[in-house]
Formats: sequence, C-alpha cells, structure tokens
Amino acid sequence: MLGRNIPYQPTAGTNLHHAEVISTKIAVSMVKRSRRPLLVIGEYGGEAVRYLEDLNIEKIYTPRDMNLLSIIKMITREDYDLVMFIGITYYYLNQALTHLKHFSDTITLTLDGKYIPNAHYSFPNMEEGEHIEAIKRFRMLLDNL
Amino acid sequence: MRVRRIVPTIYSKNLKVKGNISIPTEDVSSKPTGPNPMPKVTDLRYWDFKLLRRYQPFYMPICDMCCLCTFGKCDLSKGKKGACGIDMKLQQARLVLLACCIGTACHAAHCRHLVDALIEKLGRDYPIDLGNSIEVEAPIIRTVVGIRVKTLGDLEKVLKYCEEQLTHLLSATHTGQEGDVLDFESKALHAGMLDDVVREVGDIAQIVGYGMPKGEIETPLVDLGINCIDRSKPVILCIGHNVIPSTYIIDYLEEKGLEEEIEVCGICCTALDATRYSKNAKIVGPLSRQLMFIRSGVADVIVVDEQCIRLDILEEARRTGAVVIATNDKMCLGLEDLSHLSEDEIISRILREGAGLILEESKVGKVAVELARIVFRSRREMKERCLPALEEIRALANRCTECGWCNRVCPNSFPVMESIVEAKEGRFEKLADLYKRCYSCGRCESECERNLPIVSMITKAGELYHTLEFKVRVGKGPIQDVEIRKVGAPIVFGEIPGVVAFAGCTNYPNGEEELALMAKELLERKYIVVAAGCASMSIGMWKDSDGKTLYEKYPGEFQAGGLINAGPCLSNCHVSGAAIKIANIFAKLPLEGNFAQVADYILNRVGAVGVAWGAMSQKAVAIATGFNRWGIPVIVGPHGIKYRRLYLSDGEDFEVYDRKLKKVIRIDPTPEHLITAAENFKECLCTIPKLCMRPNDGSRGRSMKVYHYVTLYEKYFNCMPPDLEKFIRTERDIPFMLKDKILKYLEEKGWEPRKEMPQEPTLLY
Ligand code: SF4
Ligand code: SF4
Ligand code: SF4
Repeated sequence: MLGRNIPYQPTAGTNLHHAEVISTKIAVSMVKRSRRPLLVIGEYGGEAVRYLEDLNIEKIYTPRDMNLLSIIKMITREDYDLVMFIGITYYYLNQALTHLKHFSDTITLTLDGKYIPNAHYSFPNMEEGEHIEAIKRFRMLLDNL
Repeated sequence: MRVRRIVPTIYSKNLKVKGNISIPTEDVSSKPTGPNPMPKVTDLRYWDFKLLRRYQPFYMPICDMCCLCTFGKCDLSKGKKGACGIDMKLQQARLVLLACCIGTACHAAHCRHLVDALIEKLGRDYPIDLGNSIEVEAPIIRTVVGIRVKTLGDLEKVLKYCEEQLTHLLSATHTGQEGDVLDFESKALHAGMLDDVVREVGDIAQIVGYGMPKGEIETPLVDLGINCIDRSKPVILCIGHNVIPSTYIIDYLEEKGLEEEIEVCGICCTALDATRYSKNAKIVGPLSRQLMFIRSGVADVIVVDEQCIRLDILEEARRTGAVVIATNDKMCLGLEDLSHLSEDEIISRILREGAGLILEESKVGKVAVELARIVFRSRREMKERCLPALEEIRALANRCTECGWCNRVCPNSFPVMESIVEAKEGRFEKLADLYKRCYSCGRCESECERNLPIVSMITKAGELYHTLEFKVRVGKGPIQDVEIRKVGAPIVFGEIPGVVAFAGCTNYPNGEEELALMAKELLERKYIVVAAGCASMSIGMWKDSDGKTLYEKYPGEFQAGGLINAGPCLSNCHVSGAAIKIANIFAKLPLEGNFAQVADYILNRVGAVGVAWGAMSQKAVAIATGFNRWGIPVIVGPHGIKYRRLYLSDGEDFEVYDRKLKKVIRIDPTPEHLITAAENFKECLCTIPKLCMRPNDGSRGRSMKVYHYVTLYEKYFNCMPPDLEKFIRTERDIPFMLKDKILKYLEEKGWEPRKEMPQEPTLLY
C-alpha cells in the first residue's frame, strides 16, 4: 500500500534527483565508514528513537538543542561527512534538506519510516512496526561492529 | 530612575544634534530631510547589503529545475547552470523576488482600487484626518516617500511611485536580467518595503473614506465563529479582502432597515473590514474555515471580491444551492459582466444562472440583499441538509477502503483515515478533533478513491461537538501617538520585553488554537501583542477556562500586556508604523526620506518581532520581507520554509560601529536572525524572546528578556536555552530571580563578561 519509494507525501519530491532507498545493512555500513557522523533527533520519532538514544554517535536533539535550520547551516561549516535524521516533521525536514542537497557535500541519511526524497539516502516507507524492527536491527548491527 | 541619553544621528543638512534633544515633531520640515525620498530600486541597496552580509540568504530550492522560459526546462542541480547562465541560488533569489512582486502587486492593485473608488465618491481633495490622537499620520509614507499625505489625491501620488518601482522590480526577474544573489534579495526587500507603503495607503484610505476606527483604544467586540451566524435568516457571505462590495450591502440593509432580518458575515479580511465599517457585520472566521462554511450551506448568497478565495467557489456554491456574485476584475470566474443591466434584471439573471459578475459595485448592495431574501425562501429546508447527518457520516465512512492516501496528501499528515475508521463505528470524536486542526484545503478528498466528502464530514462533526462562538475586537488601525509616547522608552530600553506581531494566513501546522496559546503566554508576560489579518481572527478562536476569549481578557491598548487587533492584512502596516513612530516620537528621528536611519534605529533598538505562523500567500512573504527591511525579524511556521529563503546569521558576534565610542566593536548577536522558522509551537514561543533582544537593551531590559527566554525554555523544553551565554553581556544582564542557576550554567560554558557594551550601535558606517 505504501509504495516504498514514492515520497510519503507524494508532492515532496523536487523533480530530478530523489533519495536512494537503502536497507538497514547499507545504512550500518555507511555509519561504519563515516569519519565523523552526526545524528539529529526530532521530537516525533516515537518508540524507534529509544533504540538510538545511547548510541555512541554525536547527537543533537532538535528543536531543544538547536533549530533545524541552524543545524543545517552549521553542518555546511563543519566537517561532518554523514548526517542522519529521525523524528522531524516530514515536510519540514524534507524541505530543509534541499539546502544540503544542493549546497553541500555532506551525505544525508534519513532513518524515519517514511521515504524522504530530498535526502541522499532514505529508508523506504514502512509500517510502524516494521520501522521499529528496522531501527532495532540497525542498532544491533552497529553494536556488533 | 536612571536617565538615559538618546543620541540619534540625524541625517539632515540643517540639523547637527548630539546629547539630549527635543525637537517637536511639528517643527520638522515636511520637505524630505533624509537622503532617500522615493528611493529607486538601487537607492537603498547600501542598507540591504549591510543587512544581507550579517543575515545571509539561506536557500532551500523546492525544485531542481527552472521552467521560466523555453530554453528550459533547465537542470540547476549539483552546481549546473541553466541555458541563460543562472545557477541554483540565483534562481531561488529570483523566485523569492517574483513571489514578493506578486504579493506587492496584489496589495497595490487592491489599494489602487480603494483609492480610485473613494476619490470617485468623495473627491480628490477629501482630507486625510485621523483625528487628534494621531499626528504622524502615515509613518511609512513619510519615511519612504518623504511626503505628508493630506488628501486622498496625495495617496494617488504615493501609489504612482510604488507602481512604477514595482514594474522595475518585476522586470528584473526576466530571463537574462539580474545576475547576483544579493542584488536579487535587495530587490525583494525593496518590493517588501513597497508592499508596506501600499498597505498603509489602502488602510488609511479606507479608514478615512469609510469611517473605520482611527486608533481608538478600546474598539468594540464583535461575534466571531461559524455558530454565531443565525441560520434562520437569509445569510450573505462575503469572502476576500476588498471591503467595497460589503459596504454597499451594509448601506442597502441600513437604508431599508433590514439589519435585523438579514445576516451579513464574512471570511478573511473582508470580514474584518466589514466589522470596522458596521457593527452589524459578523465574522465567520479566517481562511481556514472557508470551504467548511461554504459546505455547511448556511450562506444563501456568496459575494466574492479578491485574494485567497477558493477557485472552485462556483462549483461548491452550486452544490449547496447558494448563488455567487463576483465583483472584482481580478476574479471574473468566466462570468458575464452584468453591470450594464438594471439591478432587477441582474437579480433574475443570477437566479437563472446561479452566478454573475457585477463590476459596478454600487449595484451589489441591492442585488445581494434581494437575492438573499429570494434564495433563502427557496432553500430554507435545504440549509440543514447540506452537510451529512451523523448517521450518513457513518454510512459514508463504511465505504472507506483504508487506503491511507488521505493521510499522505494532507499537508500536515493529519490522521484523517483514523478519524474515518472511528466514524465507521459511530465514534466521531476524532473527526471533531480534526475539525480544530484542519484548514479545509480539501486535498484529502480530492485524493479519496471512494470520493468521500471528507471536509463535509469533518465540518459536521466539528459543528456538533464544539461551540464555535467567539469574540474578536474590531480592528483599531494605527497606534495612537500618545500610546507610543508611553511605551517608547520602556521598549527601547528593553523594559517591555517586546512587541510581537502575529501576521499572515492560516497555513498552521496544527490549527488555530496554538496561535491563541502563544498570544496568551506572551500577554501574561506583559509583551505587547498586535495581530492583523487571519492571525487576528485565529487568536480569538480559543476560550480560557472562564469561557472568555483573549480579546475579552486583555485590554486593546498598545501597552504592556495589551492585545491589539490592528485590522486586516493591510493593517500590518501599523506594526512597522508603530516601530517607526517610536523612532520619530520618542527618539525624534526625522522620517522624511530617511529610511536607512530609521531602519537602523529599529534594528538596534526596537524589540519587535513578527510571527507569521501560518504564512501561505505571496502577500505574506511580501509583508515579512517588508518587516525585514525595517530591521524587524520574523519567524515563520514549518510550512513557511517553502518560500525557499530565510535570512540567517551564523550566530556569532556581530560587528557594529559605535557612534559614541567612535569605533567598530563586537557585540552580542541580536537580533540573531532576520527571518527564521520554527518547527512547532514550543520552538516558536521560545524563539520570540530571543528575537526581541536588541544591542541597545539596558541591563534591566535585557535581564527581563533573558528571564522570559529562560523560563519559557524551562517550561517547554525542561532545560536552559543551549545558547544563553551569547545573550548575557555582563552579570548585570542576569535576572535576579534566576541568578544562581544562570551563573552555574555560565560557568559550565566558560562564559566571560564582555569588555565593551555598545552605547550607540549602528550599521551605517
Ligand atoms: S530562465 Fe534560464 S534557467 Fe530558466 S528555463 Fe530559461 S534558460 Fe533555463
Ligand atoms: S482538508 Fe484538512 S484533513 Fe484534509 S488534507 Fe486539508 S488539512 Fe488535511
Ligand atoms: S483516501 Fe478515502 S478511502 Fe482512502 S483511507 Fe482516506 S477516506 Fe478511506
């Protein structure tokens, strides 16, 4: 029903270049290869976020620690090579990500259970339970590194 | 009390003033004293560039391509250029300028229409008399155009200047014109400023021409809300922004003594203006309630004028049996102009055809009223049946396949499907809850594979479950000079924590109530809250536990803890107007032709911030950009970033020139951004006190602003603001009540007091 790589909000795309859908396994290997990853956590991630909270990766909670756009502006100045996002309002994150998509080399990866076209890489649309399982697996594979 | 010296620098050949000054405003020559009367496109570029270097444009392209000419479509992604040589950033800047031009053109044409109509009615020499309480009659026009308007004819001159400038600006968006991002942005700022000017023209014209309130401190309260409209009477619904047709309807009713017999109500700014014109008009609500109210079938006659009207209005009205009268050359809807016919002939044509265009507005009064009486008789029974009854909703819901696409196409991803699924079992609470948050865009039902009338289902549940009877204060128009005199000093020294202007449309992420809750929190903290347009109605659409709306609870005066409805979108001009008046009345800065000086003063000293929480239209981006050129920061809601551009600083120290210290110094980054966005209500509320901070705040004022910043953050995020150290310049900025806590926080951050404090900060050096 969900159409795994149709933007969750179907109008969220930007015409030509849309995120590549990736599996948990690939996501894990991206984190593994990353020199300086960052995880940006929003307020709407639900249960899935619980499995990421004690992950040993630099984290920013938005908006509490920083406004999302300020984070994005900061990312273009710092040397993060991989930035992951989860739990941010869908259309807001998708729109904000276009800044990084066009004006920076930082790789972006979204870990929500909804396909977000303006990231470089995104999980596909998933049902909630499936998404939680995916995040658990992501966590487990990272722990096993 | 400590006395502060105000030492403005005055841009004038004849005046060299330093130290305490007192120049009565009347003495200021009406000849422009500043360098930029009637600034041309590039005249204020020097000011814009100063702003834009500090607050750099931050772009978020909504499309990878450009399709504006037939060389294209061109792919501008990944550093590629279009066939004309444009790149992605430039294209975004160009589109922002285009949006600002559309918004400004819309206000300019609306105000041209008002001025022309009033000149025809009252004559070119009709005086602009705003009463004894307002001497600075048009602060924006004075500053930008450099003249003092005395008659309606003078307003024409102002419009002519704006229309000419607007043509130049629009032309810059043509293929192969402007080729620099900052120049595009400077032009967008110019368009925003012109937008402010034309709105002031239009609002002043209608205030004097239609006898609307001239800044009265306590204007009356009027009914607001869908359930305030008496369905047992013929109902005329006016939608849009241009009050002229409504005035004819109200006049006709009064002339015939029919005020009690017929309901006149409105949606959007026309409604706000109708209540400024007559106490008999009622307000249904803001834009968000448009489709819902049409669907409810309460209206017998729908009169549309201009802007933000649903374009499927004919189809929607036809379904309810209502008739439509279009009245404006901007919105003819394919209808034949019936103006040449007599009123009786027009009535029979519209009865036959269901709709008609009447560009001769003086005929709208009789036609609308008489049509309402006739149509009402024939559809009295139908009125109650336009919306499905609860049992029908249940039956409809049972046709839902639970495909989930309604949730996906809803701009806010509301749980539409879940509400429908509940309704299958006869539980309507979720639909009723959705009613409060939904803005009736109808996207869910256009997608529904079962063609369920989702908006009608939501509307019915909402009308049954909620009272929907509220109050709003009639739009006051300009802020009086005496009000400004009282609050000028506490605002400039930061002792009133800020002036917060709620502006813009209803593209809210989560319904109207959040706007009211923001206003409530600020009013309790003694901010001055001003609202205009749809935002002013939204603030009224919430009641406290005592059953009162905020307009009933807080005074309508421009004072600490005052809640002002300025009026419709046009009345946003009175917000920048108030900031300018502070510069003029309180600090004695001459206005005429002195834009940059005045804006520099506002940026550095006047703690005002605009909140366009539901900004949707091109007009709203023009309004926001207009605020920005005056140095007033703006916060938009999460949908607002689809305008594609914000002005963000990098949050590090700012540099200013200090006229007193006679050198460039580094200061705290205040106000931190010129236009930014917040994801949700909590973030917006916590950003407001921060953006109200100004370099010129005294320690007492700054400590109060810090107090609100910290306590709001603690209330909503349970922690200290993570960037607090940037805004505490010395220990004296720390509020007494929070001293220990803040000192501990500062110690952890390795904070050090600043060695230098600005005395007379300016960007103009
Ligand atoms: S305006 Fe420029 S970028 Fe746009 S379609 Fe034409 S050539 Fe291409
Ligand atoms: S009408 Fe309401 S529920 Fe439907 S898509 Fe629009 S906002 Fe969402
Ligand atoms: S789109 Fe229609 S059929 Fe599909 S879930 Fe929503 S209401 Fe049901």
